[in-house]
Amino acid sequence: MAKPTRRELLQLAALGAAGAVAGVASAQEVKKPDLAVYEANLAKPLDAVAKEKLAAAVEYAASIRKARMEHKLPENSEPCVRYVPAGSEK
Amino acid sequence: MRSVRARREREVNPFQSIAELSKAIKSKQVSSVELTEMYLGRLETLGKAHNAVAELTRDHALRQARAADAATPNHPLHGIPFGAKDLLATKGIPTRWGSPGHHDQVFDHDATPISKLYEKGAVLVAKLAMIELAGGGNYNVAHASATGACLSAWDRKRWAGGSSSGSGAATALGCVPYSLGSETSGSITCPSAFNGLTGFRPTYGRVSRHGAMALCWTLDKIGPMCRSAEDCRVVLEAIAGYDPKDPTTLRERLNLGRRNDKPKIGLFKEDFKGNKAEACEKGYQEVLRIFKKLGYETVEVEYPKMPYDVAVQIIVDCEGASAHENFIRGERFQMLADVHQVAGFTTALETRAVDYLWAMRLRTEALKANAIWDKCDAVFLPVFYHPGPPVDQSFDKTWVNMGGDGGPSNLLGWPSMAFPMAWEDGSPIGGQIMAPCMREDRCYQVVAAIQRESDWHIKHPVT
Repeated sequence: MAKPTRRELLQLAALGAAGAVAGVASAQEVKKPDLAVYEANLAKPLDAVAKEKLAAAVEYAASIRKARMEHKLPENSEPCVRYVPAGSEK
Repeated sequence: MRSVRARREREVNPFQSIAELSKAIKSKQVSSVELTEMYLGRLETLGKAHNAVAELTRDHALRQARAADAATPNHPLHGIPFGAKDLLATKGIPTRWGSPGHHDQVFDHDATPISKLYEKGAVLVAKLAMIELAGGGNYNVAHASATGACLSAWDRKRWAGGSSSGSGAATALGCVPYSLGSETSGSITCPSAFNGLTGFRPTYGRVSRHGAMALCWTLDKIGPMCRSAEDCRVVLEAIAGYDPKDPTTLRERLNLGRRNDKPKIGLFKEDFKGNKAEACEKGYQEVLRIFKKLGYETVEVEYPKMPYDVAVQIIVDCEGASAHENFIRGERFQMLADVHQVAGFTTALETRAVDYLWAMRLRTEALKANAIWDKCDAVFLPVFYHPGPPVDQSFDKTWVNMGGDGGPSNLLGWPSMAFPMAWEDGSPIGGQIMAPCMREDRCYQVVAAIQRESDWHIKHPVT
C-alpha cells in the first residue's frame, strides 16, 4: 500500500472532525487522524509503541504552545537576531 | 596488556593535569607515544566498560603521537592525548553523532576545534559517546545512544549525564586528560557535574561550530571538559577564536588573564530543604565560606520572571527538526535508540513559525536579564541539587528534586564553568559560575580561586 499523501491525511482528519460533530465518532477517533498528519512526514509508519509516544509528544507540544500563549510579548517587539547582546561587555 | 598498562601508570599518573603532563613530555620523562598507549589502554577497558567510547582512534593517534615526539614541543597541549564528543567531524574517522542511523557517517574534513588542537600537536585518542543527535528529540532514557547508557565514572548504577556523556565519564575516569563537549542547553554542565569535572561552556560564538553537528544554530557551543579550571583555560585558549567558516564566531579576543577586581558574586534563592539537598547545601555553604575568605562580596539576585524554558524548548524543537529534517523524513530515522526521540522529532517537524518567532522575540525580551550584571560580576548556583539519576529507569520517574538553572543563560549565550563542590552517596554534585557574555575570565578566575582553596577537583574515582 502506498504511503498516503499529507493532503489525504489532512482530509482524513477533517472527516474525523466532521464525524465527531455528527456524533458518530468518538473523541479517540478524532485524535487519530491528527497523529497521522505527523506520521505522514515519515518514510515509514510508526509501530504501536512509537505511536503511543507520539501522542504524548504531541500533547506535550500543545502544552508548550499553551504556555507560550500565556506570555504576551510587547507589541512590535522584534526577534533576537544577534545572539551575543551588544553592550554586554562589563 | 595489563602489565603494560600498569607499568605506564607507574610512570605517569593518568589523572595528572595538562601542565604536569606537558612538563613530563618536555623533559622527556615520558613520550607522547607512551602517554597515548596508556590512555588508549584505559579507554579500551574502563572507557568501554562505561559505554563512554564511540570510536577508538588507535592508528591515527599513534601516528600523531610519533609526529609529536619527533617535533619540538611549542604548546602545552603538544603530544597530549584528548577525546572529542562524537558530534565533531574528524576526517576519515567515523562521526556518528551518537545515532544508530548514522553508523556509517564519515566526513572528509575536521571540525575547526579539532584542527586547532591538531595544530597545537594534540593527539586524538577517541571519539566519545553522546546522546543521539544531542538529545534534540526530548530523550527520556539514558540509553538514548548508539553506544548504550553511558555510566557515571563514580557509580556504574548512575547515568553519566548528557548529551556529552562520554566526554564526562572518560575524562573523570582518567581515560583522557581532557575532552571536548558541546552544549545547547546543559550538555556540558550536566555531565561535568555528574562526573565531578570542571567543564567550561564558553560564550556563544567563542568557539567555532564549523564541523560540529548542529542541533540549534543559535544555541550550540563547544567547550572543554577537564579536571580543573587551569586545564580548561589551556584548552579553551587553544580552541577559541574567529573562524570565517562559522560566521557566528566572535572577533573579540578571549582574555582569561584579564586583571579584575575581586568579584561580587550574585546568589539566587535556593530551595535546598524543599529538594532534600543536604549534601548540595553543605558544598554550597563551603563555597560561600571560600568566597568570604577570599574577600568576595555576595549579593542576592533574581531574574525577571519569563518562560525561558518554554522558549528553549521551542527553539530546540524547531531548529533541531530543521537541521535533521532529511534524516527525520528518511528511511533510517526509526533506528534511533530512544522511541521518545522518534516521537519528539516527529512532533517537532510540525512546530509552527509563529511559535518559533515568539521564542526568538522572547529572547529579545530576555535581554533584560542582563540587568543582573549591574549588581554582580558573576553568579554562583548548583548545576543540579543531586548527582546523576539511576541509569536503568526513565527520567520522567527519576528526575525529581533536581533543580537546575531555569534562567536565560543559554538563551543569552552566557558562559558558565561547572565544578565539583559536594558528594552525595559517593557521587559528585556540581556548582557553576556564570558570567556575562564574553567574560569567561570571570568564570575561570572564580573557579580557579575556589580550586586553590579546596580539593574537590583533585578527587577521582577509584579505577
